[in-house]
Amino acid sequence: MTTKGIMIDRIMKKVEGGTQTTRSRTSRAEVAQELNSVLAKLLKAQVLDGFKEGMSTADGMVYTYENIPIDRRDNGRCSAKLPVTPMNLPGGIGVYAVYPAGYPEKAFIPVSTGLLYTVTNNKILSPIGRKIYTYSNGRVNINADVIGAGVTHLDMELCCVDINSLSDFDPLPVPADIETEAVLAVLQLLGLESPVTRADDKTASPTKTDVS
Amino acid sequence: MSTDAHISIDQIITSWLGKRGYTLHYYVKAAFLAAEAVQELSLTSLPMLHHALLTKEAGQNWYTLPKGYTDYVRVGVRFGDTWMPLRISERLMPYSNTDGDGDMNPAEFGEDMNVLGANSSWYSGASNPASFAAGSFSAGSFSTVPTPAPTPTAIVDGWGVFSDGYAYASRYGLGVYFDVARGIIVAPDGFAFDEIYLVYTGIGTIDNMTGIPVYAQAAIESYIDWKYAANKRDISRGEAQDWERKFDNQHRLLRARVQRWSIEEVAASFEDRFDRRITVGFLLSDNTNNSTVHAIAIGGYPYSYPATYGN
Repeated sequence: MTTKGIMIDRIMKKVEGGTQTTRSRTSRAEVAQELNSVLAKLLKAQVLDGFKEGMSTADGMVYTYENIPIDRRDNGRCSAKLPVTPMNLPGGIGVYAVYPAGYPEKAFIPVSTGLLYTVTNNKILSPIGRKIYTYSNGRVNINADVIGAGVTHLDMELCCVDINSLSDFDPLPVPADIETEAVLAVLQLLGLESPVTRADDKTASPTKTDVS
Repeated sequence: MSTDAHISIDQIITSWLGKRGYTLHYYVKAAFLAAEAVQELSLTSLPMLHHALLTKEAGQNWYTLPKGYTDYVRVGVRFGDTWMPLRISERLMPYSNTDGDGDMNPAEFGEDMNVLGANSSWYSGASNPASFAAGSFSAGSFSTVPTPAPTPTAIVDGWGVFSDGYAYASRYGLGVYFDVARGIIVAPDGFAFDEIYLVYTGIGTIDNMTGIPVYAQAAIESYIDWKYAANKRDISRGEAQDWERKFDNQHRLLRARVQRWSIEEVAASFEDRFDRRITVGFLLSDNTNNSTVHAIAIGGYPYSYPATYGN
């Protein structure tokens, strides 16, 4: 398994044509930012492939954020602020799981905001005893007074790529098969696309030498 | 409900999600479809028995049928420590015992319904509220004391249901009229019970979806599969029909599991198994219990089947 530092080092060596020096015009922070975007795109594609096969899981890109405080709202409901913006995935699985801190088996049931009225008025969940939540405006809104029930903090599992929260030595949750693809994509974003790669790409626009 | 024989709709939904690899984000959609499945199946193939204690208001002579009611199984009044079943009529135009002589007169009421006392109409006259505390349900509350007096052992048979109760109820002239169109049970004039106990089949409403027979799980999950697939935008007609066929198969299995076999069906099954024709009479045991089919007598089959015949 690779780490964030190893991935950035691999890219920096390509950028510099050797070992990075203090005179480098491309910073590690800049590479990390581009790597974040590239990984998000690649991992999202993997999740969507899983959807085609009938699965709806996104285990490879789930980050857990613990002990997020809950605010009580005026209408007897509660809400909590999302620590990061989750990815936009089908079925709203970007917010992967929300549950009382330390109790993943008591996960709340996610409901699309547009379906809230339908669900609450059909009282379909009331005999089942499951609490529902919606996600909007960067907040998770729980349709019950869970603070009154003794729940003051939430744990959230969010689908995202948040390598800024990792140190250089933390394992990067990226499958080995997309590491090379990620390096090449970052190089392309930095304007350092390999000429060989470009020549092999039949869809690339022609260069000046091709035209002449 | 916590018995192994029953399962909750929540357990069915989470089972469905787990088998298909879906997360909780699909829970609500599955819940809608599961609820629909239980309602659909309960109309034909999944008899869900409900119990209700119906109370009438003072001055009324009717009880409101519970929501989701589809058909009655038993209706009774409390009699001491047990419940006495009542005679039931569901004729469209019930006609009262106009002469009030207490004798059965088919011309006045039709079939075998009999209401004792000076009843002038099912719909007129104030009821006479009864009280549990005042002992309204002892034998002394009735004008005629039956001989022998009904006891729980006398009127409860081996299946745990009333057997002779109808006879006693008939003797007392107790009966009610089910007016399903109006959603009420009408009591005759002078009916001295505030509460009646109703056992009925009903559609599986959301409120009672914790006691679903476990043998219905496969059919309900299959229904969710079918409807879930059919609601997809990119599904072909053929694929949707495939899912429907799978549900139909599970539905058939469910019906087979629910239905108690008749004597003829038991005989047909043995004909298939042993490739020979057998008569119904041969299946019945001789003198000990003529309502039980002793299959071991004809093929060494290790079980005996309770038969519906004679019960």
